[in-house]
Amino acid sequence: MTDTLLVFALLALTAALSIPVASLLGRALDTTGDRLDAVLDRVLGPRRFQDLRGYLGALFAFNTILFGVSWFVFAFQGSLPLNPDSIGGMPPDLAFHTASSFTTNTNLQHYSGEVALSCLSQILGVGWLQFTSAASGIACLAALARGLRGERHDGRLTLGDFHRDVARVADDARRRRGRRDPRRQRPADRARPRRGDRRDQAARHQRRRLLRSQLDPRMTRRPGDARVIFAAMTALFLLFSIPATQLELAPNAAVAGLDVAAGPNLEGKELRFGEAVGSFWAVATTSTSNGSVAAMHDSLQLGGMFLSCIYGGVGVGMINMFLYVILAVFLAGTMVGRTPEYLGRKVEAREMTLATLALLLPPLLILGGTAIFAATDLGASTTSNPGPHGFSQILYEMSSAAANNGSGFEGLGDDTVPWNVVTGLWMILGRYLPIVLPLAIAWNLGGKRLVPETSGTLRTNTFVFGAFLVGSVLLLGALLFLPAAVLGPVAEHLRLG
Amino acid sequence: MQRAPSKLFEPTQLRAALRDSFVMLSPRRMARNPVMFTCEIGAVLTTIAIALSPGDRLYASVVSVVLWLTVLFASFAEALAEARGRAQTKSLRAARAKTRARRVRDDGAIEEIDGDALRPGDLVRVAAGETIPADGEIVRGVASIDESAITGESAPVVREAGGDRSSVTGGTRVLSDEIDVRVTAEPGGSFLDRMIALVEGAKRQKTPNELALTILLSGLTLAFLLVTVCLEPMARYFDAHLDVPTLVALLVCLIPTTIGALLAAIGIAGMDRALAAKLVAKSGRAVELAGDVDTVLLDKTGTITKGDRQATAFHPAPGVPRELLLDTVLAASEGDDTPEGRSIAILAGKESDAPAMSAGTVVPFSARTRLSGVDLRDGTRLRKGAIDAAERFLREAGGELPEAVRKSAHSVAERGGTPLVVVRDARALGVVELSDVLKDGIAERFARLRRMGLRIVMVTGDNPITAAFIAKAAGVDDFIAEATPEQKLAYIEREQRDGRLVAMMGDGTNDAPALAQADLGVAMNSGTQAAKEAANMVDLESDPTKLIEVVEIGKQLLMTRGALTTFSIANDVAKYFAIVPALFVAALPELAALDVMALGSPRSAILSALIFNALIIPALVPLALRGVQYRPVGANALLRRNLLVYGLGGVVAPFVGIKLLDVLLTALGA
Repeated sequence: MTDTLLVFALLALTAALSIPVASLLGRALDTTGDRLDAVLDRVLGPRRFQDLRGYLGALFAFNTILFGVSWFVFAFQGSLPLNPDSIGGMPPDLAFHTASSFTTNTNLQHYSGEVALSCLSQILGVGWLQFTSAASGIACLAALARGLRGERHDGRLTLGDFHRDVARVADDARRRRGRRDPRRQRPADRARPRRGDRRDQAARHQRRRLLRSQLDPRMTRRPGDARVIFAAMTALFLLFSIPATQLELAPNAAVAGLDVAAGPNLEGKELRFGEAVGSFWAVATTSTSNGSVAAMHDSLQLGGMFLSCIYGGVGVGMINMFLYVILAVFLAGTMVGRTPEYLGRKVEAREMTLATLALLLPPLLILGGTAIFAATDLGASTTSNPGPHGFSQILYEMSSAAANNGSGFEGLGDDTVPWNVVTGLWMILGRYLPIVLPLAIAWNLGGKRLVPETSGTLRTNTFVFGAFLVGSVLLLGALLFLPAAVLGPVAEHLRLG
Repeated sequence: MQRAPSKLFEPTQLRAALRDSFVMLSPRRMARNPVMFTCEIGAVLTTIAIALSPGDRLYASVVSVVLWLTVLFASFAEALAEARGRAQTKSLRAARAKTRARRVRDDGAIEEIDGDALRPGDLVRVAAGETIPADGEIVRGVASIDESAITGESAPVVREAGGDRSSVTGGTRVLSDEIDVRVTAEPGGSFLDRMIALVEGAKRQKTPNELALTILLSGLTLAFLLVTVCLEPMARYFDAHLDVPTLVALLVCLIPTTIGALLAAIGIAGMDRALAAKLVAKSGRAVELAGDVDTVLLDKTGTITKGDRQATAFHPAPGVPRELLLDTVLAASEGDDTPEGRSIAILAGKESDAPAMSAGTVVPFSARTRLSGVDLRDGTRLRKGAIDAAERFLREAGGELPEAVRKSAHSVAERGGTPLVVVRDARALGVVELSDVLKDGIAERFARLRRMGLRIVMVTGDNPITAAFIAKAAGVDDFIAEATPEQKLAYIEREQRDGRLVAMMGDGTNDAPALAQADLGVAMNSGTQAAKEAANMVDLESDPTKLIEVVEIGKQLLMTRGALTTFSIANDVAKYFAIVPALFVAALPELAALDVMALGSPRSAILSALIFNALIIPALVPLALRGVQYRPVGANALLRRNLLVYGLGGVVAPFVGIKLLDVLLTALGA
């Protein structure tokens, strides 16, 4: 009982905190003319007003550097300084996997931090990227918001200045957050309400849309829209977390009939937090693309990160949700008898093409990857369990990589060349395509003429739309991933149950 | 041309549609529709599988038959929509039948040629009893013309050279007199040809929204193809084997076949509905666009108010008995055949008996005096007219306009009415109030439009005071007073700058620029060729209130599309619960717990889902053809309602349907 209360207190607190934090970050990103701005003027040169291609170009250039440096450090750490434990260099495939993991803010690890990374790797390959990769994500969200607002400079559409955005986010994070070190990925250390950060992040994204626009008074504030999306995310989050918590509170079927059977299912849980917080955490980490764990996921039966839009990863969670919003707008919009429009701009064939492509990506990566690995020895020989559980291990790893989540389903022997290469690639595809496509949509939308709202216009700030959004996310997620989920987690649950 | 067939399924149309639906199975035709094309490929694959599969041939055969039926139902829906369109254009095509034309050569000589040989710019002479060979403009003469072939209206109309009633349509018949017509349309490019081509679907192009939806549907099809294709290797992990018919059955159940099958029919049905309302859209896009209209420009006269001003009150001057004013005005209006004059007589006649004063000489209205009236036999002069004209008349007669009458006239003007001062020799007797009378029920119609989210703008030649008064009474949002064509154009451009989509109706040549500028221009068929060319729809009935129907037809089209898409996707939930456990129950027996519908056997589960998937298409054809009912209740209420009916209904309905089919199949021993 107290456990359940604790869970809800945590949720309520983070939700409450997310609003001021979001507004802080939101303001920070669109601030001009302060001291930091002056510093940036000196370092970066005068402010640029990048178009879609310019902004994405800067993103790719920056991330390529991140990737290159970290790969180099991981691969050659044996001969680089700050290596007191004389740890050897990573094999190229593992270095590739690790570099793409941290560049994409996934933090998926196919190595053990304590024994496989030198101090230099920890600092330059991991610590640095914790800020810069996350900042890239948030910067892109800011760009998305600017695109949707149709922000213009000298009459030309602009998404902002990528480098400046990254610098501002990193600066904000530095002041607020302190150190994040994935090496200490032990449950005990990770139970600090880190998910709070994540949720703040999500709320910050909402905040992006509230930012002041110099352009059109009608676009100035959209708090209603932000609230609906935030509420939809929370509803989805609860939808996933409550059953999971309930399932884990029930006695473990495997020990039925034994003396310990009376209590809740403590198998695999961190005892200081117990089963309620443990499973709540598990849902939080899978849905927020967090990657930290407070219980061994080997003993849980869930898989809710296929969608990666429930709060989602730093910055990109909201970008993913934006795709579902566009889809929901398209269907709901025609249902009220108008051609669909979002935030006053028409959603047409071009936007639908981009959204459809983005939508195809998760099933392609997750299902395609799982199919190949499950059917062949590439994956089948690396699982530690037979039957549905082993299948779940493969499915989970693919999903974790494609969704840039980073958590792992323990027991999978994943440090093999095929696993490293494929999940490494998946992380990159799963990171950048879901940034490029939505940004292109926002850019297209921003260039369209603004349609005034009438009573015949679909409102996206209402309960009905929120419910439809939740329904669309669930339905689409279920339709695409249900068969795979049925084979793994669901079958296992039924078998044990 | 008749109104839309009242019956949805005419036997002759059904037969034609059935025949056509087989023709449409050709892959080239099918490829235009990615969802159904996928379905057709699946049908081919299962048919091949019958021969190859060593296992249950009967099962594979049944799956294959159901798949072919699914594709056939889709073609049938489209063919039926086209057949209904053809039925509506039947009479039009009769009118297009070959005609002979008498072409006037440059030297004045007349030669008889084939109607098809006419080119734009040619001059043809058409006499009474002849059919006009091509669209054109009358350059000489006046004629009464029977346009019933196009409009269905049997009363002949008068068309004459010059002015706003000079255009004629090919296929209509001259009843009297003789005219010279300058041809304006290429052969095959006439109004009739375009109309027929559009309705019959021959030249049908996907509209922008239809295209966007097709992209989404193709994406979903691709995604489900991925799901299905990946399932086979995944199943191998569990040592389960999935046969081709079962996999194809799963795929076809998942891809949005319902909306894929009905999408084309919905679009054609929208055009049909427009045509049934006597509206000819020049493109499918115009119908779709109508749903998006934000601002409607409506002419005051004939649309908002009854054609002419009518007498509504009498205000006697102080000291003048009411009877005297009425008698005088009755006498003064004798012989005044203008609508205003008649309305005065009618209103006065209600209170007063036959004219007490014996009639004299009628003095008609003249531009110089701007007065009309009667000179009685005893020499008394009765006049009525505008206030300044009356004042001049009084002064000449040695009288004066009393201050009270002037005040009363002014207050009438302020109310939006027109004051007529009634004068008897040198004495002003009082004021007749003429005002615009709103059409019956117009305020309610506007309230309906406003609930749809439309801004209504009244266009009038009246002065701003009068216009404001009528605007308020009718409940419009804005008005353009003392409107000139340039002002209309400027107003449209201003609305468009604010991002609004503007619809307007017009008939005259000077309306053409505004019609072209408006996003949705509807020209009256009685209007000029220039107006018709500039518009993207033509109203055959020339009914000025038709804009309202246009908007509703557009909204209905979009709503039907959205509702059926949602329904189609929501259907998948139940199909999953039927098929997925059935697929793997052999390898993973525990999955039987997911079979919430308690279906008879895996085979019957898959077949039930597949048959439901096929049968839902013809079941929804009536809805696709009639359209989802549009209610002007605002977007939120509409969304709530449609989500409840088509979203939630779409989730629930197949659970019931599949269970029933399964019971039936099990009883049959499947």
